[in-house]
Amino acid sequence: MKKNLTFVVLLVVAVFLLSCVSVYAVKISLMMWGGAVEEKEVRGYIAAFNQEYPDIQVEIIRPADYWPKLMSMMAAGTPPDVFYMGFPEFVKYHAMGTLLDLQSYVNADPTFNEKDFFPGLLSAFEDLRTGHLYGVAKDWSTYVVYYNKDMFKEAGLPTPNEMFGNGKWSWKDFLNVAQKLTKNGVYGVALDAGRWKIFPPQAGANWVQGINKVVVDTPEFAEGIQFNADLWLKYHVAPNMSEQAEMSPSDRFANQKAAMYICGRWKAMSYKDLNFDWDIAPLPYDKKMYTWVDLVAYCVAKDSRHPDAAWKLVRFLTGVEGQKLMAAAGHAIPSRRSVAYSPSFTNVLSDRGIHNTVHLMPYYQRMLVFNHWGEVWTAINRALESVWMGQKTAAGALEGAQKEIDQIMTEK
Amino acid sequence: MKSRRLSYKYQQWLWGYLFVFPAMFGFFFFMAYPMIMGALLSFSKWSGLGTPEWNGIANWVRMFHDHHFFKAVWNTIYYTIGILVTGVPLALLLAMLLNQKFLKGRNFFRAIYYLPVISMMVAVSMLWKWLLSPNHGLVNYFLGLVGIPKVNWLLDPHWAMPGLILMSIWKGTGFNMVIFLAGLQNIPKMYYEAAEIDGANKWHKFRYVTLPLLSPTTYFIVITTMIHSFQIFQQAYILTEGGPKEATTTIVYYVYKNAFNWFRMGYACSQAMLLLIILILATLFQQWLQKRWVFYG
Repeated sequence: MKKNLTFVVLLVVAVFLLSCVSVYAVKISLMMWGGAVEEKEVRGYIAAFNQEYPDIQVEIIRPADYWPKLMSMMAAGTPPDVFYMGFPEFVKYHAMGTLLDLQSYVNADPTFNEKDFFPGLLSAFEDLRTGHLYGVAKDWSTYVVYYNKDMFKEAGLPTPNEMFGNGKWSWKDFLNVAQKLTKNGVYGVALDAGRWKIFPPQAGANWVQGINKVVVDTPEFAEGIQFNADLWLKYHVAPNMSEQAEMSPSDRFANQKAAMYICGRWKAMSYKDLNFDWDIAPLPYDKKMYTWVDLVAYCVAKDSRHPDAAWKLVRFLTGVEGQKLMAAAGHAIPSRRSVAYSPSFTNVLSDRGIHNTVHLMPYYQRMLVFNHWGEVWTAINRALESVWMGQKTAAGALEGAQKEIDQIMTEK
Repeated sequence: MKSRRLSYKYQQWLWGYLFVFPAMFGFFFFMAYPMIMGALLSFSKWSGLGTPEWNGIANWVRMFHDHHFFKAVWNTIYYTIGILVTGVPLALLLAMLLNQKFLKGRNFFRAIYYLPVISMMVAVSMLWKWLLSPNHGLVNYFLGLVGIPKVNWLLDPHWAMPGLILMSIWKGTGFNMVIFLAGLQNIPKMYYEAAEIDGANKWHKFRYVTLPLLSPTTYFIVITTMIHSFQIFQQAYILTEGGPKEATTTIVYYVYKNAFNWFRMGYACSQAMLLLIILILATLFQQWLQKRWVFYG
């Protein structure tokens, strides 16, 4: 009996010790969002990383609910070593002191080449005062118009790209073709109400005026919102709210029930097997040209136990080789210009000309960040609900939203 | 030797505690500790990371000025009453139906009605999103057959909550039904026989035998359903994201938004504490009320 017990104890200890000794010297974790497809791709990048750094094991975490998971892991003192970070969220996570200052690593690395990144991408993850880097942009994406080439040809209309080339792609021109294409149960354009953020700046609104100043009760802002809502309320060229809920605008385009679709460039890969001819064009413009940029970076946790190994991973994934791997997947635009303009990216779906979106970057003036991001965004969206339903005008609804925003911004 | 042995009483004590230790450990570590911490944090300003700052009753004051929170409390009460008034009688009705001897395939139907209970909420929500869809949904189709005009279920602030209640009843009634069934089968036949001899009809038997003898079960169901309903979160999170126009923003959903999206963990804690207080008060009220209608035979 006693012998048996000793044996069991020894066995347990042995197993425990064995599990500690592994072929890897260091084990770090990488937390990501996205679907199973993206995870498979990331596994591919990690495999390439391990060819260069065989002694660093990377565990991938892909939780169902990203932000609560990240926060609870940080609160527990066991954050993932490397993780995705959006630029609006960055402000808060940096303010809470959860991110590692990467500037010394960048300074010590002569091959990092900051100039290779698209302008603005690195500065989005800098500390405003010291200018130190707290995250490295991995990729970005922007909003575009997808259009069904066959439908344009059938209607005898010039394509959006041609119209843009001829300088005739204003809201009016856009609306005009949308009206011509709306017939027989097919809408001229499909878009989600949640994508309103592209319109107010096109109408000339300068709505984010500072880290604590968000102004939405201006005529320009209202004009942009009203244009968006009127696409279905007044002109009936786009599916209204209940139709959007019934069939997502994305599916509507894919099923040829809409001739145009406004969305991020990232949709392109899921459309690549559609059985009709489609292409991508820039967004229409009003007073100015504008597009929104979505941007994601890799950050390292301040409490990471292996910051050096974590940096090596970040450096690899945002380095030329890592970016080339990512470019081939085609979901987003690489953050390094040398890669974005190289064949590894331009050859992806080259017949759709999606790499042209690279040139849209200058129309994004600057990254819009402000305090209380989530709450302010909720306040605006809540107010706009009545606009989308046609119960209030944009100007009326935004007045209420402004009061709420001012209230939120007074809080520390 | 004998003197070194523990006394019988002490031994009993020791073994007793050893046996309850796992449960006690779980309770203190996973229930009592978080609860006490939550209560303390409700008096602090805390983003969820870093050190909480003591800020007295500021969160509680803020809560009583926050009309979004009031809306959430009202929505939660609306939902709870909706479930109690419609879901519980429906569960009783189903239980009585499936308790009939003449019904063929009773077990099959019992299984069918219980199926939604063990289905995943995400899958169920996706299904109901489609069922409640305004133009192609099955619910509107059947309403249309009896001449009721289309309802814009999840997009209309007046109908979103009833839509949620409808789904939750479909999802949860099977559970209450099983408990009612057990309660019904516990009622001795002799009472019905006695009633019959006295000339009671079906309604009398239900009103004066079934209902009183079932009242402990009903009491249990009302309490647990109430507590569950007050904590409604998943449906609002998956199906409507609290909208439209906050019509389905419930207390727990608002707590979640504050804690994880808006970095107001301290404020979220005070809301959660208020929910706890509401639940305790409601349960005490029920306990007081039960003396008047619950009959332990």
